[in-house]
Amino acid sequence: MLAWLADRNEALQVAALSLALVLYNNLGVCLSNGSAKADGA
Amino acid sequence: MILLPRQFHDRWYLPMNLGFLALLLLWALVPIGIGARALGFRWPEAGWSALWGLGLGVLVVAPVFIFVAFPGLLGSYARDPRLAGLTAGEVVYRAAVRIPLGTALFEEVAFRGILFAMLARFGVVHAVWASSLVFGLWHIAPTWELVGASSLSELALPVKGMVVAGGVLATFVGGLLFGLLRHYTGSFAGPVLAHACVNSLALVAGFLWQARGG
Repeated sequence: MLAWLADRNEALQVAALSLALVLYNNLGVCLSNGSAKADGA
Repeated sequence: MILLPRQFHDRWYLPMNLGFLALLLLWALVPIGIGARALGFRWPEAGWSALWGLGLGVLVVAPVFIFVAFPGLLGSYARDPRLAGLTAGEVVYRAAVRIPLGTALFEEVAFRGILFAMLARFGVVHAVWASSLVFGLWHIAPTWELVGASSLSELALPVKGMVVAGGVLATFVGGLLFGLLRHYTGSFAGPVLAHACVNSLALVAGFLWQARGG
């Protein structure tokens, strides 16, 4: 039971970080008024 | 949607990315409790990792310079109007400072450092493919913008969508290579060097190609 809870907690941490990263870049680019980054970010 | 002016982006790109990275590192180290070594901060291994990364990066991007030597090989569809507005000084700054720190260091510590270490608790194979998947999804909007800025923007929407999907797939494959490099060398130094090499040299090659009439 404890192992299952720990696993679930770790999976949630991964999901939270993944979502934060994807939103950070994609929203950042969308909000930057077409100032496309010619550096491949 | 509220859009930020270009000057905001140019000015804050580097500090915002490094600030966000510092917050992520703090989160991983303190409340999550992942050790520095697990995150890829391994100094004895960093040297070899960096050398491998440098080699991989140069190997991947070297063929692009064929098009600089022979500008006529590529059609005008490859022109990037965003490069036309840059001075040589701006290209040097981006290639030497902004890309290595604001793009390569930021993305590699986030993906091949923090996310990789968190996923590695479920196994290395999961760490490699899942961090690459998120890395691919990270590139949806930038790839869409790249397509929109080029002559490919005249294509039909479904075709543009396929081009963007191809770009995301390519960055997923790049993520797999960086992830394997991170795993086998034990450090994120290699992926940082490889990523910086590819992006910076591609920028320089694109600028030179267009300057030579490509």
